[in-house]
Amino acid sequence: MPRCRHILLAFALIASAGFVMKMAVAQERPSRIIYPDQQLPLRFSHTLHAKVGMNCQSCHTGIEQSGSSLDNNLPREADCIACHAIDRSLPEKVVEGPAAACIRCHPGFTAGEGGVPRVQLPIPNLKFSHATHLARKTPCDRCHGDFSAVEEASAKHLPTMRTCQGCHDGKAASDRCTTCHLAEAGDRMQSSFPGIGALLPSGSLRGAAHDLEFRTNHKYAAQNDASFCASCHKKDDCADCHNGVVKPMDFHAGDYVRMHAIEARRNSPDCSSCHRLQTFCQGCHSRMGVADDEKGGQFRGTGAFHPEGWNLQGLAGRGPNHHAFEAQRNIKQCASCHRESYCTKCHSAEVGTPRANPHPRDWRGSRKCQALVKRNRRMCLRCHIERTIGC
Amino acid sequence: MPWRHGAGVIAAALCLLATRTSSAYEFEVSARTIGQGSTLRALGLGTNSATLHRRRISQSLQLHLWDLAGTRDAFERWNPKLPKGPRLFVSSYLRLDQEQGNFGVDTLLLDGRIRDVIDVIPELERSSLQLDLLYGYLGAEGLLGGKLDLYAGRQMDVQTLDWFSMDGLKVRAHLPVHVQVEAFAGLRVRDNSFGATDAFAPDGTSQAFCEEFVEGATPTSGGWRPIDGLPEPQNGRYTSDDELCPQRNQQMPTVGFALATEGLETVSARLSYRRSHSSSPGLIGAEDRLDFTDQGYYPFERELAQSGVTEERLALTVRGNVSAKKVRLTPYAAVRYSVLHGIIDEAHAGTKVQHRAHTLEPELFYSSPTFDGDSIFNIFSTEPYSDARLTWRYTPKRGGWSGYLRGWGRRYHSEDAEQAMGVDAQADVFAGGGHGGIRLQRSKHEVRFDAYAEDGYGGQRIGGLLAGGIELSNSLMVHGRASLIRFGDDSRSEIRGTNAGLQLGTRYQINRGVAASLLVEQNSNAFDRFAMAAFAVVDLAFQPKT
Repeated sequence: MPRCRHILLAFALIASAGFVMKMAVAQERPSRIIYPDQQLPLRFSHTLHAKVGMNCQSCHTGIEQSGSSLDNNLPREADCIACHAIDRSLPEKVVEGPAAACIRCHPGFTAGEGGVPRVQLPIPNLKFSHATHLARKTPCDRCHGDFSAVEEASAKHLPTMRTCQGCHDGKAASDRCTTCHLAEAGDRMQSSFPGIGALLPSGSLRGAAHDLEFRTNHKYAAQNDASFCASCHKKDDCADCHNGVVKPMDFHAGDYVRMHAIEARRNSPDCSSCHRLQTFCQGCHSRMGVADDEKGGQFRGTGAFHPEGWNLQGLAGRGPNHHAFEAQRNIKQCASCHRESYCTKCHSAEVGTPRANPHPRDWRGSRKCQALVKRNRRMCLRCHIERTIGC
Repeated sequence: MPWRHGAGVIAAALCLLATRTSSAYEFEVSARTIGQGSTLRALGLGTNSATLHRRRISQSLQLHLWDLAGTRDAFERWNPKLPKGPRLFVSSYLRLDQEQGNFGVDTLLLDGRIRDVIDVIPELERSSLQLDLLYGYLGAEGLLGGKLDLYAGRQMDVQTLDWFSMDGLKVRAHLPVHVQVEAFAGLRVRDNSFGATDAFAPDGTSQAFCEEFVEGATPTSGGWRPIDGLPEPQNGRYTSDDELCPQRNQQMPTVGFALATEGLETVSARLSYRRSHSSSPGLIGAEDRLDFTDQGYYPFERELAQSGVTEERLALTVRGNVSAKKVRLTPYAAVRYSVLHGIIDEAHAGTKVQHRAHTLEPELFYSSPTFDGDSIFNIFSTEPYSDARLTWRYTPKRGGWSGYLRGWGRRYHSEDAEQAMGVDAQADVFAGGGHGGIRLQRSKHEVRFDAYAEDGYGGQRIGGLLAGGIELSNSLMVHGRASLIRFGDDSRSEIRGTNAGLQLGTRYQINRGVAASLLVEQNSNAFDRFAMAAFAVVDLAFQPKT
């Protein structure tokens, strides 16, 4: 049985891998958000028409005047009738030369059962003028590809953004997002299309793909090129989350109050992205009674919160539990319960204190000491009240 | 007074607005009212094991007026080839936040006296009742043929790897060689600024327990004392000793610049610098409280500088984006040097390697925690830590599936500490773990599963979340989440257990742009069998997030 189970498991893994590979190599289709799904119940051979010397404008007759993506530029019956001797009263008419029977172009058509299946061509969520591009002598195949070997056209033959950027590079043509994309107030790109979906970056432009964990991992994309983010986002979008007031319940999972210490100690995610670290932590810890702030915390004066050896004074007998290691490693954790005045009870050069020196070895003469003394002596004076300060 | 400056900026902005009536501008108004309720169990402060209620109402109003003078449209009509027409706009975000539960508004018995919670814990003052202007500024973009942008007022920005808020002026010039130069000057938004949120104020020194040095009548008899000279703050609703803290009332002039690339597809870089400082309020107390004149016994007086730097940072970030043979590379690096501390306090480097639907991202991260210049925590914090991370993402274009796996490890360096103290106390400390998730997203429904396991410094977290949502109609959506998390805090062995949580929510779009949401969460663990939280939102100018 174990062998059989292993075989089944291997088969499942191979099948999964195959599925994944199949998905990965599937032919790319331009965004469904930009070009919503079309229904083209037609049979049409571009190859055949190209072979008889027809060009695009032969059928797409109004294309040179089309100034908007709202225009439907598919050939109409009147355009076909120039070559095909179509007669609606004779749907099965057979003629020599170009076909005239309805069913030749409208598959599934049955005479007497209503009209032909309708073409549904949703308006693309894009600004585009064929007239402007053709006036600039842009050949059709630059955007749509070579149609001489294409039978039915589909959404696959519509240009992707990468194609557009071939010319819209900021030099030959504008590279503003809203040159092609629909705009909202403030000239931002419209990215939300109710009923259709959201237009999210794929990562091809700045590597800022809005993937599954982008919400918690966007810091370095945002800081580097804020103007790119501003193409779609207002500052409101930042402030709505990074505000420290509203707890996003889908972000801090479960009983986060009980469990937050683990993430907070690691500072992962960075608490200061939304909270003013010490003030926020100290207020809540004091109120909950877990801070030793001399105002009634449950651990007040008991030393019970920290492990044995935490507050051992002097160098002798110091072990891994000594608070110095934790303070040097992660003082933010200390600061969530203790105010500075708590530290200076011991770590001060003031008369009447134990004068415990918190400075690391080789502090005097160090670059950090010099930088701090040069730029802000106020901090030094918290402890060095009666001594000359210097490095 | 800081608020005068803020009021002045707003008044100036209003005057500018009032000088011209425009019919061409676009505007956006969003309003949101959020109610939050939850229960907590207090463990001290005279209310041992009492249940505390948080009932919080937050209201926000965002107002944006675009193209006030109508010049942008006019220029575009005149010459569509222009990169940008000049645009005058106002952007603001106002928020009112109020705590109604007994968490922040209550009295308690302490040392035999009844006190307001806020007087005992001044840090709670800001969450009790606060009116914040997160930002409100007048912008003029695309001046001088698209070469110059100006922003005046309260601005909130991401600068040098962190958030930053300032009342002042920012100028940005677009140079012809894909470079922009930015310079700004103003007053840093801090606790006592007009209508200020303190979320982005320099941190490190607690808002409460502000002290002053009080000189003694003889050498060595002086010391740090609470500002008001009393061992405890005076009792009085909505007052705290924070209001008497002269150092925190000092204005904090801030200047900075940035040099950045723009419009380059393959590389973007930004070099930025920012410096904030504040004046020293000088000796206080001697004139108003002591019965002897200043004796001048202390170096404090002689060495006290007129001002001190609170923050000074220089940062460089670079990001590339290149592709070859269906492989896309996005390398990036960021480093921040704290001039105030003379150290590199944060650095990060990595690269995304994307091939079709697969992305691999190795990262290295380094951090040496620093605080604002007035904080003695700068002395205690000496040990950096470094992370190594590796993430694989799978995002096929079809099927609506996506997923990721991430592993990370962290090392807290401690060799310097051990050497400094001459104690062979312990080896380096480590932490690490793995995360993974998978999502199926379709037009009407979404299902997502995330799992993680972490251990080492901080504690252990092992668990998973299953979440899903379905759009029942165009106006109604329901969603839910179930979670099971095993946790163990390594600093307190008794904080250990398993939490089971269930969350249910719904969103009803009442009308176009108007939606109401309700979310209820129930958690159960060994500490709280029945911990409930609720979250309700009324959203005006709602946009469905699809």
